Amino acid sequence: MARVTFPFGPQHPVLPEAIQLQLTCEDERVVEVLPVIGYMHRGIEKAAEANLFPNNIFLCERICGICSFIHALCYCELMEGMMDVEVPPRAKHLRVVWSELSRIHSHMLWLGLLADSFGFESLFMQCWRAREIILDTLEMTTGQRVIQSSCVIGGVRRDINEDQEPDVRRKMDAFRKEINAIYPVFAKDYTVKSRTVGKGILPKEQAWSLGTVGPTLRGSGWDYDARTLGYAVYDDLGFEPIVEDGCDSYARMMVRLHEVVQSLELVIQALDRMPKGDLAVTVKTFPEGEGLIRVEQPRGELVEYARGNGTAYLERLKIRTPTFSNIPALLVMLPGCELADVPVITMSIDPCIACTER
Amino acid sequence: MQQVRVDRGADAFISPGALLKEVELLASEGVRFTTMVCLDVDQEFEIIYLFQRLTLDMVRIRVRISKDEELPSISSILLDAVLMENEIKEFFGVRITNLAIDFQCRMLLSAKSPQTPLLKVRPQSQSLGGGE
Amino acid sequence: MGFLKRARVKSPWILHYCTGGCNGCDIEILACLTPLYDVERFGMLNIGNPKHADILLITGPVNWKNRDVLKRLYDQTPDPKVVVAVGVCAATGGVFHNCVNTLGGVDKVIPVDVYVRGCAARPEAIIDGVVLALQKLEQKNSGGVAYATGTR
Repeated sequence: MARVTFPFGPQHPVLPEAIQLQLTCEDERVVEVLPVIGYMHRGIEKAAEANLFPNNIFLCERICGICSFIHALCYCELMEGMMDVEVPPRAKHLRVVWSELSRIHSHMLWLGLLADSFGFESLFMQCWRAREIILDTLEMTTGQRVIQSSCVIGGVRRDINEDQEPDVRRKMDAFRKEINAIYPVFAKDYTVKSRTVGKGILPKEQAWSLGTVGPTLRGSGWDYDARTLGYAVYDDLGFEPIVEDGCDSYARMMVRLHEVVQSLELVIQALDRMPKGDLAVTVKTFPEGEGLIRVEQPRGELVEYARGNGTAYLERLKIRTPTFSNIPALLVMLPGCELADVPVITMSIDPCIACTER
Repeated sequence: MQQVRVDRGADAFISPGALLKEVELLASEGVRFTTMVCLDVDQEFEIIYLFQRLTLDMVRIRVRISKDEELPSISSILLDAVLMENEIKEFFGVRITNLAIDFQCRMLLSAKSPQTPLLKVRPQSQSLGGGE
Repeated sequence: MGFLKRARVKSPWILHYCTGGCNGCDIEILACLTPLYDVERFGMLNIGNPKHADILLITGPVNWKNRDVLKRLYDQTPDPKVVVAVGVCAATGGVFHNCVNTLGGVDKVIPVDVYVRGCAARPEAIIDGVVLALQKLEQKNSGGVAYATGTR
């Protein structure tokens, strides 16, 4: 049979970002995939060497606008580790609150886009409407909707004071009502199931060996979540990773759906346990030596490596983002699927191209 | 608490010739690839391979090569290393051989972008004006 | 006002393209289309085909690989068209001003009519910018402004 090669992207309505997949098809069936990336590459790693090291926080935040807080958190924790800075406990709790809020907003965004990718327009709208509650909370507590810039080396810049705390809790209650209404649609609806169950199979063994991380890995039955390594205060919060054994798009969707509910509980827990005290300590040293950190982003494990030489400039900052290691999984998931399933399967790894290419 | 500071002394330094054998040994133990970091140290590249064990601990291997030396690709053993190896080839100009998928230095950069942007010191063979 | 001109101003179609920013603005553009901000009440529709579009919403500082794609999208959009650069990095390069692979702004490649400020641009600001773009579109429609000024 004649083979036809389709370009999927770089400009495509289902993808908010630019990536191209060259799909070789026989009839309706995809036989070969070649991801063509580089449309979003800026060269952040090089710029990080030219900037003063505290200014890199703002650059790191803008690696990706969806998980920006966690990028800043990762960089700050790395620098603090390299300089032996002890962060005040209140700041650590605030970091958990904001990183879990940004996880919820990222997952809700993704759930909406997934619904959009199989044409369930009203579900897309519902998810994004619920997500606005979280964005309101972020704006109320940090002053910005998507890029918070509230994390600094040594602590945080903003506080959730006594006036705001009841408001945050009220918003979380409102959001819980929304997610309780959305949950059964994703979990049980015929349309959703018929488009996701059994699509984009990633067997357990391959999920490990191809280096996938985050919900893609946990959807294939591995219980690895970098939050169990215990940065910030996750080790005190009694955190357990969420695992599904389905290995398909449905399993990956359910992992994220459960994580939304779990993150909501983590926010409440962190608010309950938040001690009083300082927000930040002053940092007077420069980073020296080598540091390596792993942090859990909404999309998976984020690995950062830095090397300092005792001056205000870093010698090297290496950022391994989760989508970078999830892309090889597409080479296993896509061949054999139908052309109409390509958007759903591509979305199921939650591709963040701005992260991937930095 | 997570270990952030890297202890250089605990890492294994390996010659480029022994790299494939060592990675094969690790792969048979169920280790998977996490990432690679390339450092530009004067006339040498220091390449750190980071792997993850099933217990989720990290394994670090360091390789030092001179800038004109060739480095064998580990993508035949661990396929997902291929993207990172392409990236290092593109950003630093490390000569990596036997890549499973070779993007020919056009994975992230285009023909008009500045080439090998992260390279600080050019290798002597490429230096302009023929040395000092 | 003829039917086509009226349709263009009353129901402009939007093409959104990201040229390599952090996608903070992209999700805010998408948020504009969803119930809280609901830009569709102005008759706007987000579409995937440049040949149907009237307004180009461009985010990001433009990198070398994206440059040709952006040019092609601009050429494929039929006249009259309006280009809106969303976010600081689409205007000047912003936080990516010293990144090696960026060109620093959409106006280095195609003429821009409206700049929307903010990093990330707020949905309200984006709606403001698009409404401003509508006025420009009306002017262009009636032959007031043939081409955007400030081409570099």
